[in-house]
Amino acid sequence: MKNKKQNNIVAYVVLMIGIFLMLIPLAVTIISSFKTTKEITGNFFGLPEEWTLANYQRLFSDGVSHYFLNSAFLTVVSVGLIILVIPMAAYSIARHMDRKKAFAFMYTMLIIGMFVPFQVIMLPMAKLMSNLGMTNLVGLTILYLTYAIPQTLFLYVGYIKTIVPEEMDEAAAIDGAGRFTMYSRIIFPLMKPMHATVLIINALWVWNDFLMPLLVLNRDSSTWTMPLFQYNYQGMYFSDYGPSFASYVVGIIPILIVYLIFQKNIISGMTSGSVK
Amino acid sequence: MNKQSFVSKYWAYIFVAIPVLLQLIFFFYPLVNGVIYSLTDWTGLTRSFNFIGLDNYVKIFQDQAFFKSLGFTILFTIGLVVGEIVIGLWLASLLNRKIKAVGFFRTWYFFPAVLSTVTIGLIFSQLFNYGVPQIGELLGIKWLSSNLLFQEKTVFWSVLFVALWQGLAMPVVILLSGLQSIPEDIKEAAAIDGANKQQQFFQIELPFLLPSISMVFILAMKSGLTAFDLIYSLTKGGPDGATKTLGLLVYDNAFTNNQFGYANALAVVLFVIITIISVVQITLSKKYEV
Repeated sequence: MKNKKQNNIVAYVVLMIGIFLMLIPLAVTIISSFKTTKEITGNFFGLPEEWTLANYQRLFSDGVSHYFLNSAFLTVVSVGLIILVIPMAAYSIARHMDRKKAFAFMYTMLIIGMFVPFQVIMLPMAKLMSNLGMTNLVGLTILYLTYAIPQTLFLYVGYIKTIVPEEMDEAAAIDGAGRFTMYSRIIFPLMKPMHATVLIINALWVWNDFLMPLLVLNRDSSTWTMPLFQYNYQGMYFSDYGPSFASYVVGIIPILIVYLIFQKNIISGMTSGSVK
Repeated sequence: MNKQSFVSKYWAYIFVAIPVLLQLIFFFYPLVNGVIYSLTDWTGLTRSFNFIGLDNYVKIFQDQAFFKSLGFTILFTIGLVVGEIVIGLWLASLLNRKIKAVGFFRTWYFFPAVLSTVTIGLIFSQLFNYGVPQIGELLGIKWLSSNLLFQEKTVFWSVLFVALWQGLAMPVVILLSGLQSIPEDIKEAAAIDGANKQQQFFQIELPFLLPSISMVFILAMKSGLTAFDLIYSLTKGGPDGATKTLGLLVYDNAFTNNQFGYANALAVVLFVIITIISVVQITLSKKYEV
């Protein structure tokens, strides 16, 4: 019994070291964002002598709110489109794939993207976007919708097959409702738990993604997203890094707030969504 | 009435039309184009280009930079896979004990998973630039006193550390739920029968954990082989290409060296490598699952 207690103390110590390693970089980032650059380079881990808002003033006068809104727009519209378009297709495929070869084929075609790394298509895709004149936020929402399809459709089809059986359709059909009404009034609401998972996975992906904006938006700085802005901002003032730290904090804070409120859903959504 | 009957007749096709169209235009068309470009000498800047057959592929296998990048990518992936499984299992088993504040630990251990990888890379690049050297000076350790990311000897472990800092978040939760799926009475029965700690782990717990471990394996492998964001923001592939992953090599050849055709050939090779590894992985895990 005593042995077990000692073991638990060891466990606490190890876990605390882990938390320490995890939180130090974040704490340093927040503290540094209130320091002058001189203080950051002088004593990196120390507290500032005087907490200053100068970094934030400069960050906002450099237009961070614009990039923040770009990211917010991109995330909301992309996720909105994803939840509008993909479950509908998943419903149709789940109902027909066992009977009609065409739908089984379409299913394979739509989820095969899960096995193809993004690097394989990114270069021709970037060329295509610039040929189409779609190197802007609207073009990017369409890309996010497209590249969300494989995983999201896979999750929805699995969900519909187990949770929303065909008898539901029959029961709903008796009321004389058309297919679309039936889908939007009955089937769509039944998939609520899956909508939550899909929303979480895709919103975090779009908000945090870097490579796609880098490929598609890098030329026109007015369209930059937060991660792209943060990246380019670090190089903007050579060795004057105070405002950069403020830009990391502005990117992290909304995620932190959302995470603390919905952490249970987020943890279970992300881990169940990672089953590929 | 007419419209209604059209919808009710063809609804199944109408519902899937948009995704199918999008995948054809923005996924399959670039996929095919990539293979076509890989057979050309296109710089990516001009309008015209020539077909040069398999020259780009021949060039890859004579390219020192490719082998250097392949070597780093494989080592980095092995580091990630081993780190995520071993450290992940260790942390998960600590969290699985009946200790207080498990919720608190779980919340914060998972947090890095929701952060932007680029932001993390940028933060750590600052830490390695200013923070770590100050610790080195304080302790009087010479190699720690200058930026670890600029030294060929230390950059691998530094990059791997940051990758695990974020990469461990998901495995810990996945493996913890694997551990919690082991029925208590089986563990107790084994303990009563006199199985020691090692026997308990390898013969009782491990079979239950295999699905979770295999999942972590796939996740880690995929993130290692296709790593881009973290490297791009942390080292940009430096020093002297020591941390250039294949993903970064593709990007650099396309946009820095303006060898668009060659970059596409590299992407095709990356695809083949990943496919081979995935097929091997799936066959192996099927073999051991039963």
